[in-house]
Amino acid sequence: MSELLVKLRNLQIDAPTRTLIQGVNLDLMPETVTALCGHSGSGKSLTARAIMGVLDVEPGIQAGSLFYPALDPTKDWFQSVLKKGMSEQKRLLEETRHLRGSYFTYSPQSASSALNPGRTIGRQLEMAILRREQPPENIGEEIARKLAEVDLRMNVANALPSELSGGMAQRAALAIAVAPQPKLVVADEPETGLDPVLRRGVIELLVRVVRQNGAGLLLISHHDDTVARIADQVIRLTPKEHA
Amino acid sequence: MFAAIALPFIVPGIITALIWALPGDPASIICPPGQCPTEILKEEFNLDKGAWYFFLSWLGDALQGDFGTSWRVMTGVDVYELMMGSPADNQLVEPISAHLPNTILLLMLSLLPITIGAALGAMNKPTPKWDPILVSVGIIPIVVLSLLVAALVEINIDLDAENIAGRIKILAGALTLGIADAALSGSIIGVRGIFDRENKQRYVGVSILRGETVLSNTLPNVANSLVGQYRSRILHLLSGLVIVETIIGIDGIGRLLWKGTLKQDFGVVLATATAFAIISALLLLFQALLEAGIALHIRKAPKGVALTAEQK
Amino acid sequence: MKRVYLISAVSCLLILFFAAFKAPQHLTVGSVTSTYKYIQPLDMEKYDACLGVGKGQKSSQSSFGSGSNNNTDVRDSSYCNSVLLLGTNQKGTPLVEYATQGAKIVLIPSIVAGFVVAFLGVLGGLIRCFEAPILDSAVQLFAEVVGALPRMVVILVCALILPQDMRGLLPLAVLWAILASPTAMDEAGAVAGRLGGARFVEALRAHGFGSFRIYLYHIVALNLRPVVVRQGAEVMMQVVFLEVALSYLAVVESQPSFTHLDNLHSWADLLRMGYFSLIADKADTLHALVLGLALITLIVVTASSVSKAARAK
Repeated sequence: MSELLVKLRNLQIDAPTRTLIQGVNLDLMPETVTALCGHSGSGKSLTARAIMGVLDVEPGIQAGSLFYPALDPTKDWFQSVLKKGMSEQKRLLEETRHLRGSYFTYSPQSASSALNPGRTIGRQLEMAILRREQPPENIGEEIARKLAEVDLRMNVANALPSELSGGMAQRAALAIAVAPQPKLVVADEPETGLDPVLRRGVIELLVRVVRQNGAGLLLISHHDDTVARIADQVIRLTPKEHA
Repeated sequence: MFAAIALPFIVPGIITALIWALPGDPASIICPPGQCPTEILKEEFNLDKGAWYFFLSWLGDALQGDFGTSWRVMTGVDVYELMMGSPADNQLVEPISAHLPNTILLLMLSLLPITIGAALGAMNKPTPKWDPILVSVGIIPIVVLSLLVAALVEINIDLDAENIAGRIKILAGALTLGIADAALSGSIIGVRGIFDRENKQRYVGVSILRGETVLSNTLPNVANSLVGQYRSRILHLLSGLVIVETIIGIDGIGRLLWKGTLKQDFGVVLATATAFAIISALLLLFQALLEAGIALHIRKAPKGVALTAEQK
Repeated sequence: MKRVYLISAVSCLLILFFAAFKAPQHLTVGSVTSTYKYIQPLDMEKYDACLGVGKGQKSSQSSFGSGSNNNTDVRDSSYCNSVLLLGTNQKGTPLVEYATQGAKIVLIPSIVAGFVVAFLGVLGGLIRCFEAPILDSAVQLFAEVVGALPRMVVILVCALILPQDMRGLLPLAVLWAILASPTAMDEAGAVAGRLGGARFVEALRAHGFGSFRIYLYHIVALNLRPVVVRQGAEVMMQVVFLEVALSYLAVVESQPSFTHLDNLHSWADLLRMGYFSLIADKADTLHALVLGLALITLIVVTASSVSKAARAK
């Protein structure tokens, strides 16, 4: 079995009046598709954000541990944050910033509104590529290669997100997510807002591209058919875990 | 862009139109008979040859730097010299202050508080809980703050030491301009508001998840709003200049304009008003150029991406 | 809370109206006395009587003190009331007369300016609700050009050109309102744009509402009201400050102000009196500065209350 990328144990996050998630355990591995399922409001996105060190709820993390074994198997990233509130969460956000966009990347839902409207797709891809440990010498060629991977033409590099269709924007977002050659891609409901044909195409493309790049995939979805078709392991946030 | 080009012509144009639109002899409108030498006024400004002739001849002369002479603010002195100051080798008993350079210096210095305010606003500092205090400070009318600052300067500065007094007055004026009439507080709250609105956009949250800095993502998108706000604040400062310069006693074109208005010195008023219009036009031009630059920056192609015709 | 603002706004406006109504045509004329005192009024007997000081005794250092009624034979009740209310200047002219005359100068022009801006703001909002791209472009061009003019410069140029018989605060206030209108029109237009503009009108028509109700009630009264009232109140306040500033500048240069007749005195005179006390380090007319600042604060409170009272629920 491959080395673990993320090991999350017994995560509990509280909001001021209620517990948002409780007892969530997760092991993420390279070249493995892990689906995080559950109803709306069950804490799927919150769990994914916690894995990436991004939390903005008060009082926040009450219990749990988070390890990135591929980086440092002994370091518990949540240790200093537990029950410490927003100030420590902000510190965690800064501490993990260098990992986001390199160790793990994020592919958003409804990409048309999630991509920066003031930067061309090419510039966003360029910035993502430059976050690699060893950026290539010819950025232009690499941009073309990444766009080709997601079946987009080179002229998309000069387009702004508002000039792309929903499906094209989603594929561009996927290209940006895999461009830094991350170990893990977190895809947050990438099929949202797309018609059934496009949805199937985007998900299959996502899995293909992520596997091509040797990364792991954490797919957040509430489409059971999609999950059943592509996931290697499924984590379902059920009422038992979700208090 | 249209306004930037038209503004230096619009102001003298409006003045011309008003003079000829009002009933009565143009020379008498500018200065009632008995108070001014109406015949000399007519001759100097071609007021008896119709609106177009007056407008075009004044404009032609102005483009060559000839704004006529002052007959009441400083009788017989060239208006251009009044604005720019007397030459170093002047033979005058009392040298003429460099009104326009003084005003530009005052304006530049007064941009400091506004710029600092904008930077603080972008950093979300001070937090909104301080807004009541900021608003209370900002609501102080410029005339009141100028008066208090003028009193402070008067009490504490030895006005006989003309060189130092002049500089301190300009500094005090800049501080007054930069704080009164919500210049500083508006800058902080306005810029913070722009960033607050932008930070609520989805792409900002996504940029955090990608490990990018928020500011580098939002700045190109808010730049146009920031530039627009900055220009309108400078424009607001231009209006305040007249009050600050007159009350604190700074020899600038605002004070010159005021003296010209009070003493009905048409040549001085026309020239100083046009100078203000040119400053405003330059601001508009600057804004247009910055907006064009921002648009180009947004469209900037990534390194090494050269599109061939086929790829397009 | 909204009711508190409404009561505050109405009270402030009533105070201003009352003050303007009570303003005398001419100030009580005093004379300059030989020695400096806090108060050295023209008619010492008359003044001392107000403070209840007997003949032969010197008046007190304070104009705010109250006196007994033992000199009722020489008391002029209206003069005494005004003296005791806010004190006098060095010549014995009651400051309350400056306050009321100042209110008289600014009241009508500032209110008219407020209404002009509010009207133009409503116009800007309504134009956005019509399907009229040419009109919309014309408004934008107007806003761009007028918005780029330095307001004070235009005001001064017009003050120079206006014929003597037309001079006063009113034309300048209206001009100021026109110069300030692009902001109001822009903001009202933005509100109308957020509503959906012409689509909002169409949607209401589909619900069976008539044009009158759509434009005047749904758009103006319900949605544009907070914006245009706030802009109107702000301009009202700005016009008062403009008058004070122009009058003050005229006093600085020892010239008559072109915002009012020579027999009237602006609040700027109070500030000027206070300024002299400040720089001379004497307290003789420092209370004039306090009164001037209090009147300016009253205007700020009025504008703020009017704006907040008109806010949407």
